[in-house]
Amino acid sequence: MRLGLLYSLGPDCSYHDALAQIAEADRLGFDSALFEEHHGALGAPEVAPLAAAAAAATRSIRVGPANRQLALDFPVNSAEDYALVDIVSRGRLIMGVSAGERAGEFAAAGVLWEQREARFREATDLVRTVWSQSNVQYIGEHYVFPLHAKGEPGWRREPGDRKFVDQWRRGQTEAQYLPMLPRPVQLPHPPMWVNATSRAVIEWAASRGYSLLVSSLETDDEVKTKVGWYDAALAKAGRDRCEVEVALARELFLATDGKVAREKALPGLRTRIDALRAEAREDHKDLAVIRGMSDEALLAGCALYGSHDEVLGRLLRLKGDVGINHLLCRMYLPGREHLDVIESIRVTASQLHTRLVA
Amino acid sequence: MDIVIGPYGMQSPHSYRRSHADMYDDLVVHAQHAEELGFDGFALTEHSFWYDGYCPSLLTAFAPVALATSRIKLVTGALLVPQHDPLKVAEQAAVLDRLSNGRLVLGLGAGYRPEEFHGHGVEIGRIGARFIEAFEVVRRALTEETFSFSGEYYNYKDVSLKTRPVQREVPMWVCGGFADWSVKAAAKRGWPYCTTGDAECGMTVFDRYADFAREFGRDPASLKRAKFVDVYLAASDEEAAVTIEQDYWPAMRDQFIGFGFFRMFNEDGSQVTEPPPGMKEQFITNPNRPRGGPARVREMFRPVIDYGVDMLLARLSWANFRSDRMLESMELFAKEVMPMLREGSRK
Repeated sequence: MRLGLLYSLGPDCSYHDALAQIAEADRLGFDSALFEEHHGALGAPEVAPLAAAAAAATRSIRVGPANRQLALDFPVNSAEDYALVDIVSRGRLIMGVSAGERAGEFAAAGVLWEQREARFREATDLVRTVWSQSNVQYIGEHYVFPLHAKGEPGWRREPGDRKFVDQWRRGQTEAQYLPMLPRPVQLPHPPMWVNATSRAVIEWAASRGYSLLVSSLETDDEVKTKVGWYDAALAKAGRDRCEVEVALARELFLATDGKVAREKALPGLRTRIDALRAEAREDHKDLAVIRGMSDEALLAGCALYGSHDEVLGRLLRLKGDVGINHLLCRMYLPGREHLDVIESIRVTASQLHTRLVA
Repeated sequence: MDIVIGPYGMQSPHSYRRSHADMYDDLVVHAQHAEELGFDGFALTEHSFWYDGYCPSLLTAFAPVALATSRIKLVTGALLVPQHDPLKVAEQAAVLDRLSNGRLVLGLGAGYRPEEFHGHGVEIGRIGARFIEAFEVVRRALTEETFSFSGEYYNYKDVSLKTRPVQREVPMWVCGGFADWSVKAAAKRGWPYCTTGDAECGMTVFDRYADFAREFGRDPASLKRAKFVDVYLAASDEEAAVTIEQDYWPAMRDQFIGFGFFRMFNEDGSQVTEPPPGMKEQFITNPNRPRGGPARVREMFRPVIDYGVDMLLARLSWANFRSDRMLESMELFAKEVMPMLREGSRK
């Protein structure tokens, strides 16, 4: 199991501290640092600059968005932003993408909430297409690239039967095919991690060979169910777990003494749950995962806090029984001291990482 | 007067191919160098879907620069806002402003290449109307706690950015080239205007800016002006002439053709691939494009100084200049031209 960091940098969080933590994690051999996009008070609304900054501050750690909601604007803009992150990081981008979980964000962006999954599937395929192929057109139900491209649904390359003219000699054209440039460093394209929002999305991700990222609001049992759907769909598509990563996000609080860890963890976690509940809109059934669950059930089922051995035991079960091979730890929550997080990163590296990798 | 170096386009043209990863590493070195040399700002510019990998995402590209510098302003000159979701631009701007501790200067332009609009899923249509709305959306998203906007192209209801920029008001510029509609729109609303100059790159755009302002009952003295100047600075006039011939003009010419500045067609309907006769000479001898050794460049900056602007964008390098050449040019400018610009602007 690889270890990474997950950040939700709301208005009260220091970007500077977060980047210092990521630099420390980079030195200690952590594998990833992902940023959650959130258009309210719980995270940064746009994380491409943060991912690029994290890349600039580090050498080896992979960086990226945890849940870029591609359907909130035209997906090619995201493809351009994150291609640049892949370039400045020299191929260290992980592209976490999400169909979206909050109706309010779609209302603000003027995108129909009901269309989110259909749009998301197209958007993800469109990003993959423009990243991996040059001079393409993509024709979907919701997105057409370029705008006036005509033809059957799907994507295709520019046919080779026409006379070649260098682009700088072409002048202005009503292009039918366009290259998205500069393209990412990673081939054929940076890994795409699809957020496990619904069963349909999970199974679609498996069929496409995209990796899976399960949110920190799922209990261990729910994680097992969702990964089960994913594995079944993978097998059905003739694919294998060797092609993908299955990542799980968790709040993480470690201490030598389990009681101390609990005392440290609970206030911040409760504040976060309250904030999540406050913004979830019942009428749209968004953030379905936290509906109908008590704080206690959420804390016991989702967050990882306790002594080294307690946490290790749970992680080994997730690794062995469920097949989670990447753990994204959220350590920096509002109210938690920067130095405490640094210490926690060090302890995690020495106490957990060494035991989980082998 | 703020003296800004750039904008850099991060191009890797056919006449000088480079790795983009290396170029973005160099970019950070250049920004640090510019900061040490006393420049006030460092600018980037964007285009999309262009063969040489022209930078398509300025606010992402600036993040590593923000981390490596502490004083210099980060100027987008220009970010083509109608080709993005303006709310997303505001969100990225807020994040970058926080990353850079309040050093973002947001120059917004409209764009003009049909491919770029269409590649971003936007109908090119009435560029001006769309730009004015987009500018207003970004401005209000960054300055108002909660805003609603209802326009022809964009509609938002009760949207609030919880992540606020560090600057209470992120400086915003209309980078309108010299199009009449943009001068008028900026004058009407009191928006600062950044120009490439009129067709001859001169300062007459600002006369129109002032006239429009008076028309709308606004005091022209309250307006902010910025001028974009292409500079070819070398150790001597002779060296500059060689640079123009070998590097500057060929790259400029290719881009002029590719970006559709010469809308001329052969009999078979194909694009004319050579600029019209006299274009090169006119380009090279234009009195508003300072070129040559330090003494001559200083002299050619006179009109800009005499007019007085609030921000000067000096593009010292072109796509096919080597990195060390760009740095030399930057040093030369800081040593030989900047003092005179500072002195002149104090008067």
